[in-house]
Parts: sequence; structure tokens; C-alpha cells
Amino acid sequence: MKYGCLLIVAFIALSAGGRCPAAPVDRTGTQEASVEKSAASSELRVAGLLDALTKEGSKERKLFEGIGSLVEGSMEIDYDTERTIGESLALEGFARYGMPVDNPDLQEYVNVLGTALADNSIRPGIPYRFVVVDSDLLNAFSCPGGIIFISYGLMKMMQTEAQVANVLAHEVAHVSHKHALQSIRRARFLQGVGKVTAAAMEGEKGQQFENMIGDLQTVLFDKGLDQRMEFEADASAMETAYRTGYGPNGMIEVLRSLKAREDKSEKSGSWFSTHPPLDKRIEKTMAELAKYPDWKQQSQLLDRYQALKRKFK
Amino acid sequence: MKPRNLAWMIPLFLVCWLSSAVAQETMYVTSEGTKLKEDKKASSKTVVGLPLGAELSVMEKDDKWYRVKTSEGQKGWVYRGRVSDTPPSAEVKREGADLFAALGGSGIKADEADTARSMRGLSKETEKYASMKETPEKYRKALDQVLAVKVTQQEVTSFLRDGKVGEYAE
Repeated sequence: MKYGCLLIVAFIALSAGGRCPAAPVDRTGTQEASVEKSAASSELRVAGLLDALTKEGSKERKLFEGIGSLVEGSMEIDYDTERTIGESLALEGFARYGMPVDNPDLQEYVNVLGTALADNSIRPGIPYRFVVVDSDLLNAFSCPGGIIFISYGLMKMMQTEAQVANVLAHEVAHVSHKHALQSIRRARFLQGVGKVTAAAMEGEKGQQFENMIGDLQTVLFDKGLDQRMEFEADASAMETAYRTGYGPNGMIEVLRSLKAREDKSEKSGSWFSTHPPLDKRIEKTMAELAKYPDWKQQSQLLDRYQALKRKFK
Repeated sequence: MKPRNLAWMIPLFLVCWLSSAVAQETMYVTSEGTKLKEDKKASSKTVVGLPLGAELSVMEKDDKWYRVKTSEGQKGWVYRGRVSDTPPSAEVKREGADLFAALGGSGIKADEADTARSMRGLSKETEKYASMKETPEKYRKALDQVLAVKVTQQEVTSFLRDGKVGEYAE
């Protein structure tokens, strides 16, 4: 596959060499000579480039292998494959953050509210599932394909349904923008693979799949996604909440609550370690709120969420 | 400038005014479960269910509701949060079409559908991963239960209506 890419790149290089930048409009003898000289020099450059490309470990070869990886890695991954990656990560999510909280009303609540929001997200046509896990850490994360985890600790911290809506919409936004998938686009497992099958997970490929899920855990549980993706998810969440009918101010309120708890909370594996600095996020979401001049007319639903919270253990 | 010198501008004004009155804004359905309503309230009768990407001509805007015409000529009201001036991507439309078909392809049937958003259990490939990693059975069961949750359009509608959220606000 890589050699295929090398050939394509070499072809592009040759085509570019054929279109000499000094090509004349007016064909005089001097200019023709100049064109011939220039074309000969282009051919030499291309020949040199091809030599460099075939040389193992050369700078040019590494560069073009990188481009090849990018082209292959950005190939569309089908939904079943995305889902399998997400399900495998979800299994690790339970191991890391704990089992689902035994409260059917709460689990139903996040699933119905989350689905209502997902309907108005930028990717409404896939099934989303939401689960509150028994962890005191203040955290939420989403697996590719639509499985979304929220910690019990975060649910306890929040005060209104609009706040919960903004957090769930933030996680839906990561799924709909395929942020986690973008973070693993260069994984060896995905090179030349557009679809995962059980047979394709045998032997070395199986090991590569495990490594890819391991890398995803590092990104989502410890290191965090790219800051640009987090800001994008915040803005997207506020829009989705607003479109559904909730106040986008809920996003800012959650960030402020987190800020108030930052000093006393455990950082490892929480939103504090996996998300950008809260001051910066608050600043950006405040600017975002200005897009919704009638946000005060939107639902906050303090009472409905407080009624649900009374059944929390 | 004398008034008669401005006379030539009158037809120009007329042309501009007429073209702005005739030009209709085009919007696209961007939310799942969107319904065209007879009146500008969620409790009014549903004219038809609208699939993702459906093109609508906006005839009138009244606060949070838009009076629109579908490409088939059906007229009614749609909530502003369910449309956008940018169409959804081809992939999103394709995924939505699958769900729309599962719901019966109509907003009315969608209300009664209980197959909405149903999801199989762990995929064969995830099972394979769990075997390779020797994932404890309790985590597999937990994930199976999460995937087995069903949310119907009716539940979503009741939830938003009970909370008077968005198009159900009074």
C-alpha cells in the first residue's frame, strides 16, 4: 500500500515537473533554449527525488510515508467499525471508572434526555446510549459510535437539567465530530483497513487493535483530546442545547462549578486532567453565549432535576 | 435634485421590493423526528414527518416557528430548532435515512414506534476483543445492558412535553 502511495506521489511530482514554472508565452529561440534547460533540470530533480524515495530511511521517504499514512488513515471508517472500537473502549471504561449506578430512573433519565439532544445534534441518525457509572471523579467521556459515560460524581455536582443537557450535548458533539477517531487516524491497525471483522483481528492485527484501544484510553482517560476539539464540543453543545430548548448558559455554570472544586478534587482521570484550562473554556463559552440573545427564555428545569437528585444515594 | 430626476428610480425600487418579497429562504431539516405541524404549536396536528435533509421554503417566521412549504407542496409550521440554512452532510442523511426507515418513514408512525434506535448486543468483533483481553464477564454484561436500552420517539416527546422544553414551551 505504501509503495502505491509512493507511486502516486512520484506521479504528482513528475506531473509538476512537466509543467515547468518558466514555460514561455512567447516562443523565441532564447526562451525555447531556456525551457529545454529548465525541463532537463526538472527531470534531474525528479530523478533525484525518485532515488531519494527508494532509499530506505531517507528524509524524503519518511516524509512521503507520512503523507501516505495520512491519506490511508483518513479513509472513511464504516459505522460498524466505529461502533466496535467504541464498544471495546466502553469495556475498558467500566474497568477504569466503575459499574453502572443501580438507579433505573437515573439511567432512563440520561438516555431520554441524551437522545432528545442527539436528535438535534449534527449527527442525529445513529443510536446513542448514556450510562452513569459509580465514580466520584468529576468526569464524562464518549466512545466512538455513541456510547457515553458520565460519572455519578458529576451528576451529583450539577444542579439543573440545562446543566446536564449541556454536558451530555458536549459528549454527543465529540461523537458527532468523530474527535476520538481523529486522534487515532494514524493507528497501524487502521492502515488499509476500512472495516473491522473478527477474522481481521487475528494475529498481528489483533495486537494492533489492542494497541489502538490502549492509545484511545490514554487520550480519553488521561491525556485528553486536542484543545481545539474541546472548544469545538463546548460550542456545539451550547448550540444543540439551545436548539432543543435548554439554556446554553448551563455549559458555563458547569465549568464554573468545576472551577470552584478544582483545588480540592482528584485530577487524575477527571475532566481537570483531560480538558483544557477552565478559565479559557469559561472565557470562550461566555463569548459563545452572546450568539443566543434570548437564552434567558430557554428552559433550566431546576425542579425536575432536583426531584431526580433526591433519589441519589 | 429635482423630483422628476428621481422618477427613474421608482421602477428600480419596485423591482427590488418585488424580488425580495418573492425570494423565499431555503432551509433544511437537520433534526431527527421533525414534524410538519398544521399550526405553530407542538400539540397541533402533524401534517407529515420530515426526513433529515428535506428542503423547505420558508414563507413566514413567527418567533420560534417557521411557516414552510415542502418540495411536495405541503404547507405547515416547523420549530426553528429543527432546521438550519445548511443541509446535513451526505453521511448524516444516509444514517438518518436508515433510522427514518426503521421508524416507518412517517412522523405519525414514529410516535408509536417502539423499534426506535434499537441496538444489537456486543458485536462479534467486540466479543473477540474481550476474549483477547480476558475482560471480566461483569463488564461484558454491563455493556450488554447499556446497549439493550431502548428509547422511543414517544418517550422523547413526552419528556420534552412534560418539561415544557423547546417546541413544547407554553
